[in-house]
Amino acid sequence: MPQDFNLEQFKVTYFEECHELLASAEEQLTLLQQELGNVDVEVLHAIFRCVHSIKGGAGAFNYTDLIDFTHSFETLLDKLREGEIPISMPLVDVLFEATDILSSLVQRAQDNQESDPEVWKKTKQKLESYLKEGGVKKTSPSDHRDGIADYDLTPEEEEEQGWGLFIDLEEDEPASELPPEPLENFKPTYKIKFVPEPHLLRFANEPLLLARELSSLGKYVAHADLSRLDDLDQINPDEAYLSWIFELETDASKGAIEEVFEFVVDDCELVIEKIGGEAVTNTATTKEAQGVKAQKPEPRTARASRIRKEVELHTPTQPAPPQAAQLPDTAEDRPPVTETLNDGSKSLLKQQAKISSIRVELDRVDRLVNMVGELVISQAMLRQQVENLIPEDSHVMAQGFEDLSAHTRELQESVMAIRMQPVKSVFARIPRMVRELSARLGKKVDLITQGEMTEVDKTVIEQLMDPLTHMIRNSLDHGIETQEERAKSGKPERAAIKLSAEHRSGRIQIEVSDDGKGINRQRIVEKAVQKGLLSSDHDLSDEEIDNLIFAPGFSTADEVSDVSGRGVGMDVVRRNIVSLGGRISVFSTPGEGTRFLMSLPLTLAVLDGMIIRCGQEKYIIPLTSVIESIHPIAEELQPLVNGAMMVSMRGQYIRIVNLYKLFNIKGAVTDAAQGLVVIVETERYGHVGILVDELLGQQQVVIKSLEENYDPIDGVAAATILGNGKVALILDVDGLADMEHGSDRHRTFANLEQQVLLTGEKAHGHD
Amino acid sequence: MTEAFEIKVENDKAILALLPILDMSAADSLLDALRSCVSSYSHLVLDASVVERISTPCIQVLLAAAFKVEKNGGRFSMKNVTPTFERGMRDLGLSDYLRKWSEN
Repeated sequence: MPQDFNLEQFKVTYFEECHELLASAEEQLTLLQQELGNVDVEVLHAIFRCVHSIKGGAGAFNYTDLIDFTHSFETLLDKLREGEIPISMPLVDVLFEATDILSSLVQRAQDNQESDPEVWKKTKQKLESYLKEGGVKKTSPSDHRDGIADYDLTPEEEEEQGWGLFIDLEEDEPASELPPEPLENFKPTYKIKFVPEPHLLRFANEPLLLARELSSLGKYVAHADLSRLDDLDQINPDEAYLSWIFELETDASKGAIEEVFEFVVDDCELVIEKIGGEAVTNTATTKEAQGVKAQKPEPRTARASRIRKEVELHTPTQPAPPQAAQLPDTAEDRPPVTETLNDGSKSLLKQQAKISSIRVELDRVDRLVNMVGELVISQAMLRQQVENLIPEDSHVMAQGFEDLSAHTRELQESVMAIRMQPVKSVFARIPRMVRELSARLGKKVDLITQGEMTEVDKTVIEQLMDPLTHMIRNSLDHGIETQEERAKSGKPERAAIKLSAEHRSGRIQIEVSDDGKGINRQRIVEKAVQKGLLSSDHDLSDEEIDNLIFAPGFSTADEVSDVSGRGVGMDVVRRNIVSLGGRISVFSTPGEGTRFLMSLPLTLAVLDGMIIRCGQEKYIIPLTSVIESIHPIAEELQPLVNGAMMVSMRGQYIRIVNLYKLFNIKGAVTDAAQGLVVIVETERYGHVGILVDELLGQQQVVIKSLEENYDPIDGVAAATILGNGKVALILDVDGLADMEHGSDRHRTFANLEQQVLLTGEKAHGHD
Repeated sequence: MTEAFEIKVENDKAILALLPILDMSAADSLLDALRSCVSSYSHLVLDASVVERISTPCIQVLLAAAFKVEKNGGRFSMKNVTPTFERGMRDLGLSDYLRKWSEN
């Protein structure tokens, strides 16, 4: 019995997997709902696998409620995938409900709490009512035991359920088909057939370079096929006539081989086969591939359309290299067992995931990230110490430092890559929320998501959910009009909310936009005046009024609804984003919609910075913000009446941010004509110039959070430790521009409350 | 524009001196030079002593010329092959041809 072991360590893994499985099930359910008229059986397979895996672990740990519930759930899913019960909208709703119940049962099991049978049994009955309607006996083919009574597993069954590997990606795959341990020093051999399209060479693609790149991956032999070569009188030098079969013995992944052909994949026929190698059979994948084939095809990518699926040829020994002249015949005589990636892409991806990933605790990765951070600091310190050596010695060390620096950077990037995750995990939860809320509010809303595979650090992902949820709720509740209002203003019946993510200048940008009524500025101003935040004779611009929604405790909702509008809305969103080193802006057009733009750092661990000096202080400006630096001459500087200074640069006027003034730095250059102006890009103010004394150089710096170690400071994003061991502050260029802008306003209005609102920063002091 | 290929004639054989850079832009003029050699001489010798870079378009043209010469019953040979040339031919799986031309 499993109880003989210390199960706790496995339980941790099990619950982690449960949460992933539940998220995956929910994602697939959303897909199912979207494709109700044309259901892909693979989606049902996927949901079934999730529920079945949860049940498997529940059995191992004897969570009886979970077993009982998942049993009914998976039986229904099984019948759905077999086509014995038709799928309908109400049924999908029940499946969603069942996923919720399953989630709460898992949570309760994890918290060691008893679950309330009343709650889950009601849903179980709903599931069973569908089974009865479908005239189905309550039995699952994957588990012929009914209920939990017989859930006493044999050791073999326990093994099959997986100890620490509960995700059974290949449901029907017998355990014996799992890949065996690879032989020592054994390297698989790939046979790569590369037939360029005639036009390949015209796009400056050079097969020779591809061949060389391949050869860098391992032991390599090329066989050229000259059968397509034209006669000298007819030949056209910029057409490709040759084709090749490359044999490559390598321990690089198939992905690495595909990468070599990344840029030519649309202009050639490419078949990559593994000869011999691990005994990875394709029985299961073929079966699944057929299942997919019968259904709606997967969306095609240009790259995938040409790459053939990797299939093992059961050749005990490596075949002799085919002779060049015989190549075409050989290919015909012995057609390779290939399937297109399109047909089996899901199975293939699954198979790859199964072989190539391991589960690692986040703590371990964090320790690694931390150590790399310390390494970067140590390196900077060493470098500084070397500079104090006599020139001969320092010169000798220089090359070594170059190498060390390159390796450290690579190490750091690799470690950071471990933590990167696609924003999909957050985006996947949104469709359901939109569906539920729009139903509750009686609005018809389409959610359009883009860029969900955009990767960002896990810490950032974790912090994204709340702000996003809040913004989407806001859009649904306040932004999108009612059906009648939309009809009146001639808008389409279905409203659209767009959620997109993309990488931009080393940051991730997330946008939430809707085609609703936009921000009601009049109401905002009324509320602000009513709350005494604004005098009635204000002269705020439209953009400034829009930004009032980020002011603390500001809500225009007339009634507090349970969807949004409790008055603790957008200021919290803003605070969350700012604490992540991010920024949020709002753009609204009355009658057309509202757009929220969030910009977040990709990682919270390190950044490339420009070290600048102002007086005796050193600061870091994030390199991604820096555009250029200029030495303005006096004629290019233009003071404004409010005391601000502009610099003219190639016909453009750029506002100067006086760092020395904002931070009250003594002994700094105060005349821009004597100093250096670093032009940076900001989210809200476009280009602004930061007046500094001099640039000291670029350096990769380790971010140390001010919020965690001290308190937030306006205009400062974080701190770091320089090579000399001293702490330097990393500037927040948007925050600085805000402060400069705010100090302006302060001068103009002498109204602190108003300034706080305008700059959008928190009111006095810290929370 | 690529510089022209130099053709010398010695004892009824044409000696074509290959250029250092045989990239795609050189392929057209190489083709012209080879066509004119093949049409007039049955024994063609390529001098690869200065070749620093080769490309698939030029190699295709060389192969077509070699086949044409052999088809016409002539001799296609190559001398002073540089390591770069040799490596390029090997990477593209054409070492056998190069060996044969060098032995001719």
